[in-house]
Amino acid sequence: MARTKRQRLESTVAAIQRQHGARALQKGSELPAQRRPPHVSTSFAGLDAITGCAGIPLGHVTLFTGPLGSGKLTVAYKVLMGAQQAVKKSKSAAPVAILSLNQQLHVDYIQRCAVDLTRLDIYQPPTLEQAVELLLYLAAGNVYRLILVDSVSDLLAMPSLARQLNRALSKLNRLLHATQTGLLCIGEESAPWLARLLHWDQMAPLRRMAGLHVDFDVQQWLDRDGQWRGYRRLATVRKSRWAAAGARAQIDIEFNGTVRAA
Amino acid sequence: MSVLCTYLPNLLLNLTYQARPALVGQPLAILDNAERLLALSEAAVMAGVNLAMTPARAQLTCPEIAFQEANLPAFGQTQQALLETLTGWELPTEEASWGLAYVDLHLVSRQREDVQALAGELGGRLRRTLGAELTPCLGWDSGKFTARAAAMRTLPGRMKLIDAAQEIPFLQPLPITLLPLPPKELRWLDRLGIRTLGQFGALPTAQVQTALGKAGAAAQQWALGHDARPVVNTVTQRFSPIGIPFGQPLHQLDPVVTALMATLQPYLASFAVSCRGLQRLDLELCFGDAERILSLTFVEPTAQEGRVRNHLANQLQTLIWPEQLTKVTITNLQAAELPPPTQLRLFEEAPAAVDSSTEWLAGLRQRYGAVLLRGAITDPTHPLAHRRAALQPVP
Repeated sequence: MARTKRQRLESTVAAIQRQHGARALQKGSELPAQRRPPHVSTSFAGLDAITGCAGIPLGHVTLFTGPLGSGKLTVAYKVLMGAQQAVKKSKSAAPVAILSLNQQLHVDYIQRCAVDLTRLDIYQPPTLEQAVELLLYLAAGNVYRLILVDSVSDLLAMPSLARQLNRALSKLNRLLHATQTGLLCIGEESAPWLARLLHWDQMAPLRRMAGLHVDFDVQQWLDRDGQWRGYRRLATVRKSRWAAAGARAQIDIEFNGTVRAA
Repeated sequence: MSVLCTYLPNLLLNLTYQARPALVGQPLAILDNAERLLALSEAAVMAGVNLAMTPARAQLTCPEIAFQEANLPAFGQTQQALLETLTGWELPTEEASWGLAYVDLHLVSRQREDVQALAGELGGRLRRTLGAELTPCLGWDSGKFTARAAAMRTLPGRMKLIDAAQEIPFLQPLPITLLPLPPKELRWLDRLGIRTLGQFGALPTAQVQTALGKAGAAAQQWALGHDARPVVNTVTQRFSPIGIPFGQPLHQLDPVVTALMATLQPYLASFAVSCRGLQRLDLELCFGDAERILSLTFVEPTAQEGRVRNHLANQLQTLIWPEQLTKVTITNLQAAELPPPTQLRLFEEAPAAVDSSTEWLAGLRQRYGAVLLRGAITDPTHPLAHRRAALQPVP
């Protein structure tokens, strides 16, 4: 009986493939592995493993969200460091840039995250109204491999700027894709699951556009012999075009004068 | 002011078609003596050829294109006939380019009704002189720029007269590429989303002056319909020669070039602020008893002192000096409007997408000011973390 069923199935598959081509119906095991986009490592092996593209994809928008102190900015700085190491030669002196919108940039901390300050451009627009236009200009320039926006929540807090950003998103995505520039956006804590589900939060258009969305959460402090030495955070992939959502990884960030991925 | 602009569209093409009717409808390029593209037929433009290309590049782009050498004596004869007809009124007449000239009607009429009658009469005379194949377009306004735009936006055999009240609505939707601004600045404006004369005219004047200089400010005034440039009578009035005697005979190049540039500098400065440039310079050089004539022609009119100086030095250096130079006379100095960017250029411009990073950064600075910073550790031992480093603007 089972053999008859299998024979019928195989003859049906063969008939469909004859009529519509061999690629019309394929077994899952025969499918080619999905091609990874160009990417930059996050320096955290566990996090790289769950994003589906071995890090942060270039040519797409990546969104890091989480509450204050959840380590999203530290991971972002580590990504900048990875991008600097990956790009030996670039069109401009610096292959990476930060678009700082909240005027709270800690240069000392960036350096402690092993980012080479001489190869990092920092943009501080005089007013937030110029931020979206400046972002489009940076993306169109094809000068940087990775641009970090710290943080989009500052834009989304103002309805007029949020509308401006949302209107520019499709153009921004096209520019990023054309120039293979990665855009890493830092956002505050994600809205509650119901608000996210119903797209009631301001970040919904950005989340829809993002190729990768990782949420960070506080888990525990790390100490050794009563000495505080770092913290452990939980990264959850909310969305990825290259892997299933929901994957989690623990990341350990250690401090010893410098910040390093454990 | 009251300026009437006469424009014979596709003059060079129409004259070529008269001589060789078989070329009508074909992709055609007319070449000058130096094998530069002077004019293109519509079929050639549709095939992707533009005036900036070399003949070889044009043939690669459009393999069917036919090349025709310009019959310059015939073209010159027609141009002369046009100018003679225009000077029939004995009013100041300025020759701008092939088939394009301005007549100053200021002394005769400033009213639309009077101009309409005069323009009708002129159109009739031109048709009788040049034939039905070369029908002119006429445009009238209080300034040269709007008059030219009007002539170019009307059909052959028609006239477009722009009143003061109609100037702004007429100019507003026209493309910004009508202004003779450098391509780099036009690209910058394009990046800002400024593509029509109306959008350009609405920009704050002070900022336009800061970003684009005096020429940009003048161009903005033209976009608003304010063009105070007079019609310079280049047809009947000839340039008065300027003699530059030297105290003692010279055998070195530098003092000669310096003296010439000192004389030319006020002219170049006046050209620069009115979007015009030097097109032709004729010199008479006296070497004791011997005389030499030197003629410098700029394919693209220029008001840049450096370009003029280099060209002058180069020409004087290649000239054989029989004796020491005793006197130089400037016998002719001809200016022309800077061409709009779609006109003849020696080399093809690079597309905006491949701007160099330096140009990109310059554009960024021009647009947003000093927004680019770089971090540096200034005091690594300071107890407060945020005092250990500082952000410094990138020069």
